[in-house]
Amino acid sequence: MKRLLILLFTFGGFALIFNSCDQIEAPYINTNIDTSGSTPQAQKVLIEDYTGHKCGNCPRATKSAYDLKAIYGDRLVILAVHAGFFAGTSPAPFTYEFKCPESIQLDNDFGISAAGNPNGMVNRKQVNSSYIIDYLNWGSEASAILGSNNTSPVTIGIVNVYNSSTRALETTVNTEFLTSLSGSYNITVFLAEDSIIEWQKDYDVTPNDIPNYVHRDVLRGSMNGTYGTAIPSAAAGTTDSQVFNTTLNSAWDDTHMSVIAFVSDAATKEIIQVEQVEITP
Amino acid sequence: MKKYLKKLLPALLLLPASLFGQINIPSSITGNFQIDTQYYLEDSTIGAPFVPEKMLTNGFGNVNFMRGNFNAGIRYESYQNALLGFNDKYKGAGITYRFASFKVNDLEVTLGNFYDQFGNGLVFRSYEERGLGLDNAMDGIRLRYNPYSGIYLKGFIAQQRYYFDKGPGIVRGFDGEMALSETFKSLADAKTRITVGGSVVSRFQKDDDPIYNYPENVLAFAGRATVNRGSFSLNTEYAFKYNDPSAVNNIIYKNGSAFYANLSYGRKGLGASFSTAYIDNMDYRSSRAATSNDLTLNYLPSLSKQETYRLATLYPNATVTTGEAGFQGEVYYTFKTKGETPKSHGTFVSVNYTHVVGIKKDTAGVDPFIGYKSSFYNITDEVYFDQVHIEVAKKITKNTKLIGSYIYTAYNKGVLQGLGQDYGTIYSHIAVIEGQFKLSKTHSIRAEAQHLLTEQDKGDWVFGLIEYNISPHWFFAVFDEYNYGNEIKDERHNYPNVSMGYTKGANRISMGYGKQRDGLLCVGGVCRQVPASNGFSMSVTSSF
Repeated sequence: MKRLLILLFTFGGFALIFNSCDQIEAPYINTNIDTSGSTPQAQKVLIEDYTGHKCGNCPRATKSAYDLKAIYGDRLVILAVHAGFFAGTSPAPFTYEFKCPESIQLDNDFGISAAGNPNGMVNRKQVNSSYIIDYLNWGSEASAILGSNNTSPVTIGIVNVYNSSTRALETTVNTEFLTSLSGSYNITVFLAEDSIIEWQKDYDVTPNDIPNYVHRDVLRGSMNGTYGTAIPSAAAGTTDSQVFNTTLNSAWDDTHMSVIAFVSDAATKEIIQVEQVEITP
Repeated sequence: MKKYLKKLLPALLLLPASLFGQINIPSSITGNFQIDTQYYLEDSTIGAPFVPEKMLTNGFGNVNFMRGNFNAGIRYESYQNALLGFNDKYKGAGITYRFASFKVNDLEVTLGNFYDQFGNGLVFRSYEERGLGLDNAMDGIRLRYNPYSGIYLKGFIAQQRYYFDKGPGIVRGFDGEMALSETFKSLADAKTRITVGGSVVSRFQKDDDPIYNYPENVLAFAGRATVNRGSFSLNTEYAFKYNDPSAVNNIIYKNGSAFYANLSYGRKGLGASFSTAYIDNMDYRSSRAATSNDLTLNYLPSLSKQETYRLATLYPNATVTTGEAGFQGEVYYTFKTKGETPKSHGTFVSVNYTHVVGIKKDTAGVDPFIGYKSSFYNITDEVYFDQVHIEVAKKITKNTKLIGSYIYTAYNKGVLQGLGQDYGTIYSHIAVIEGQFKLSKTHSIRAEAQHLLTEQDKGDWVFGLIEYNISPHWFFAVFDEYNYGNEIKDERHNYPNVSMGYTKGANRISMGYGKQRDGLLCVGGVCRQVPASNGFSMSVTSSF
């Protein structure tokens, strides 16, 4: 009897786990994804991709972010934050400066390059008490936010007035809380430049150093500090309008610039809504 | 209700009696403790950064209680903040390991944290390497059952440690092993002793990715056998893993496999061993998104000899978990000197050779989501790692021992560090001479001189060390590493180091000052720069 029991126990132990296996066959990609948001303003999500032109594993992560963008469209905003060792400007040919004071401060504050590149944040939301999200999890985190919140509790409107001859930019950011939220909130207004053609290391291709890599949505700076300015109230129905002025750096291609504004919890840093509007002369 | 109370009450009343009844069972409390502190100085010449905290500290302590068949323990860890080189995710302090286990007859139950391994670890190994900041302890329930002599069953369900948290995967494992000569009386005296075993491990991780259709349950299984006869011992294991698209394999759905075999021979004065390993897409973790050293579920053995000489650790072999094949052979012999026993004054010679190459990955006509086709031991001629290590040791007088080593290494930097194809191979030659001199019963000196020659990377290095020991309490050491052959003159740095320590019983305190070179740490598709450092360090260890 004991032998039989042991045999059953052994067989059962193996068999139970042996059946715990899913074998996936093509298609490997989901085809029916609900990406629609609803009015008044669809919930959007910001993926901050911490990267560097000397980081050969980073193009994989960037690609995965833009694969998501292909599905979610405008509901997903991507910001490439160049900072840390891999964003250094030597040796040649990696001499181009992608970093800015804000990217360096964000990287230091959230400890991202210290944990390794590529890595990133999704709405600066903490998962398992960590802001840092492995790039393979960006999709599930973004879809969790977008899936559970069809509409955003706050709307953001961006109006850019740009003079291409003086390169002066005036950006007005209007926010309105549709539901009351506890805590205090900041509005942060970043400048991003898209499609910078520069060198990039990519370990998945040979040779690794690519001279004409397209660097997408690169953080260039902020119009109101790394963590933004306060929104006076988060009570339902509260509207707020803030105006920011700056002159675009002459090294930036003003036909590829955009303003990315987001509302974040001042204490937890979690972003609750984001908006991106291109700068057009 | 009454019926239950009638049954329960006597049991409750008897409980204290039964506890007191066991009062004679001896109990013990043991523990150990370590704290490492470093004070950092900014040093732009070697690239040592400014550390805002100035001082960083890692510390931990274990306390274990044992009474009869009951065993429990906790570990407290503190990173205020973590020393440079450790992952920043080690931040703060807390109880990171706690467990209770008891054994009743043939069954052992463990609740909480545990470390364990199935076979050689090809499908499951939970372990810690504190110095590397690696700890993939399990947290769950484990049963070990030894129903018959020679039959060992193990099963568990658990999650894995992830810094101060747990990984998302739920891991289920079962392992069975049978030592035939213990189980069957007829084989008890057989000259050939055989042990066979098998294991299965499955990871569950929810798939909520909007793009990919990931397998939520990923299964790996393995079979193994060890055969011992006389001076020979053979250990083999084969493992297979079903589709496991992950960050490390760049999201391919191909199945994985691994094979490991080791044949060894040993008799007085002579030993030889031969190992081979084949690894194909066998990185297995409790999260598909994990990279670096995080959440590793299995252990794929690195074939090369473990190097301890400092310059020989510059270009270490690392297992390429996405695919490699190789072998290692080692022979050692102690020559008998006339009139002496081999152990005392004979010349010891060991020769070790390691050769690791890539495996053929045929992508033609293969669905990019599958990645590639491969077949068992179908290898390429791209060398990943090649090493010859020759060591000769001779006790020339009663109090003097000399050890000479030569190490040749071909190190495919791009592949071994996960940096792509452009980095080429670094060829280095290292010569080491070590002397151990006993001055008196308590005083001894150990000295090392090392020289590394290479045309690639940072060029040539020299290293010198002198260690003075006054047993059983004191040690003093001074060493310097000098990158004199660096092509860039401004980077020909010295990395000096002085240290001393005092040991009394189980307490040990040591302190030192030194500079440490920087390095790039790339594991599983994520790279981190470990900065150079310059500063004072102090370490205290204790146990009871």
